[in-house]
Amino acid sequence: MEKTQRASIIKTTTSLLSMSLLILKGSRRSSFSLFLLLGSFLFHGCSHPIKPAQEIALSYREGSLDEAEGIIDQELEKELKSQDFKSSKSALWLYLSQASIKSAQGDTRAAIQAYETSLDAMDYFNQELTLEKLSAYLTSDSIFPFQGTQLDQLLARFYFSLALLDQGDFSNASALLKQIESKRQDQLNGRDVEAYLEGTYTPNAALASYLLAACLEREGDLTNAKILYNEAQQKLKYAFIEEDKLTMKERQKKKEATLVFIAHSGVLPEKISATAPASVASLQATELLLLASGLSPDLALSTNVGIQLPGYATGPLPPEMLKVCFNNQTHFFFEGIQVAGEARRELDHNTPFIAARAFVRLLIRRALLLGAQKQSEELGLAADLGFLALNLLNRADTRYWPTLPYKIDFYRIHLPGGSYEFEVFGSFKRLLVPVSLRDRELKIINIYHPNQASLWKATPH
Amino acid sequence: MESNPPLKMSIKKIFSYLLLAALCSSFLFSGCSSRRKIRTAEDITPGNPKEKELDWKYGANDIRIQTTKVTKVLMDRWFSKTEASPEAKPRLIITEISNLTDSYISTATIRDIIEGVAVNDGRFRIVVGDQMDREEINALLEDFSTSQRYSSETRLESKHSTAAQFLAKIRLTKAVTQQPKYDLEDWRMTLTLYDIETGEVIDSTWDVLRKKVAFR
Repeated sequence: MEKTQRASIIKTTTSLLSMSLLILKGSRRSSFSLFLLLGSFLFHGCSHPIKPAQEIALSYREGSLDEAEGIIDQELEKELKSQDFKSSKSALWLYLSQASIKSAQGDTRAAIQAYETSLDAMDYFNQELTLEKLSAYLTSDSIFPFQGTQLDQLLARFYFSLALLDQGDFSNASALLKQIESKRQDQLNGRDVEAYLEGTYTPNAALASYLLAACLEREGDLTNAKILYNEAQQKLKYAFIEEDKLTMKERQKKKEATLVFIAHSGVLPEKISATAPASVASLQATELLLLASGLSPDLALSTNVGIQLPGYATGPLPPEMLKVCFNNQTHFFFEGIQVAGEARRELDHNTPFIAARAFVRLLIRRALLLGAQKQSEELGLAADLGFLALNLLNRADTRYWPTLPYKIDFYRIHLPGGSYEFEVFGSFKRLLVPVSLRDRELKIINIYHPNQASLWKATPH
Repeated sequence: MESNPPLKMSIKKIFSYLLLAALCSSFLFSGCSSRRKIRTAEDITPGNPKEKELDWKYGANDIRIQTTKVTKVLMDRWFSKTEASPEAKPRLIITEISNLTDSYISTATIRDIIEGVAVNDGRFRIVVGDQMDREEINALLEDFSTSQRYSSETRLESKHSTAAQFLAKIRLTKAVTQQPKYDLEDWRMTLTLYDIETGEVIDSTWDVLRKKVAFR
């Protein structure tokens, strides 16, 4: 029997038992039932799919894509058990990881399927339930199914569009990039209810705007392409974007093709759970206040653990910037999306909400403990120990998309149709990339560089 | 005053029991799988049968509704204008399925559905490609007329029948009217027929499917 199933059954049984005992009168039964109820807290939210995410991230970082794929398939099998994603709270990050591994392997068709499922799952799980919200205040944030952050949603669409561009499906790729643009517009206009409620964090979607501009230019929609080049230029501030905007008509006349290298470098740092030091101090101060005011007969051990907040690990070091050599000229890639930076920025933005929920959770437990302490000293001690174990076991929600890169860089060049040879290189590895371009073509080449010793081009099957 | 304390006590007890029951039941349900609704939309296109349970995304059902309508209109017009014989089934060579909306729509789905619609209608034939360029179209037509594979006893000789061939493009666009509690989405499918030699537009029709999509 699965650990989660066992935990659920125990929790359900103890909850039912405590409810039925509470209906009966008698202080002893009430104490016992209260003890059972508190005991049922212990088994809640114990299982976190942390270890598989770490293993997947490690395999991807080492460039062992088959190994990463194997772990993902195994986890999906365990989570879904031949049902669809609605039955699992972790399916989304697994599908996203599967999709990005498939993209890296060049299996575009499978990547497209996985991204499509991921977007469906994102939409489904972004419907919040009141009962879940209430439960989150009582137990942990892991009660929510993994919904994907705003950055995840942007990157899922971005990577989906890259997979579609690999297949030559420009219209659907443009559609996905338009979704990103549309979401950005909604957030700016205050129409996005989620963004409004959660504050105004807006992921940096400039690279998506640039790609969409390139797609629209290819379709001949120069007016909208100009607007989007402006948009990209405002955020990225590269002179060549301004140049691209001004020379569109000229390039159309010359029938020049556009080649864009996109480098997916490094791996996003691991998301971890850590105790907020300030919370320990403030909770201890609260305990002293309760004792001094006579509200609490004794200090509680369980509140000394503080609250757990999610964060990104500080290592590994940021990956190097790749270079591209063509016609004996070497150029650096340009920064596109600083994924790790954006992820940290988003988490910083969401931390007050996470901390507030964690604090309310602790307060509710403290209130229950107070009730137990007033019943009897023994019950109070038992409850305190129970809550101590629970608070120690409670972790922040550290589910994330482990196969995201540390950053996404890009390099673009306009050339007439023909065959060319490029060399992409870092400190330790060099990669020869032969390219064949047709007139007016927009070609995207994805380069993967998860560590200094691994560098490859994803060749669509 | 004396009668109030017992009432207060029982209210207090009831309240505390209710609170504990709420706590317990939240535990009970928190372990269960999510009970989320599957988002649906309502078809509010004037003239369409009332459909309240469409998928909120533009999908197979919507494509089927629209391709059936547009192909019917074009074929009705073609046969009434030309009085062509029913055996001379026009051939539509779909060269492009252009999605100009902001939603991913599988072109393979459109392809499958339009082939099914052609079979059901029975008055035209369909060849579906995507993004064919002139060279590919020429090669395809060359194949039809000269290849052994297409030469069979059941096939009508060209001098005994005239069957038109058209290049066709399917274009999908979307317009959204935002309302406080829902969006009105107008999905427009346009099917345009082009002369195979000159590239001139022979005929075109469109269908608009209006969906009322509620927010979550």
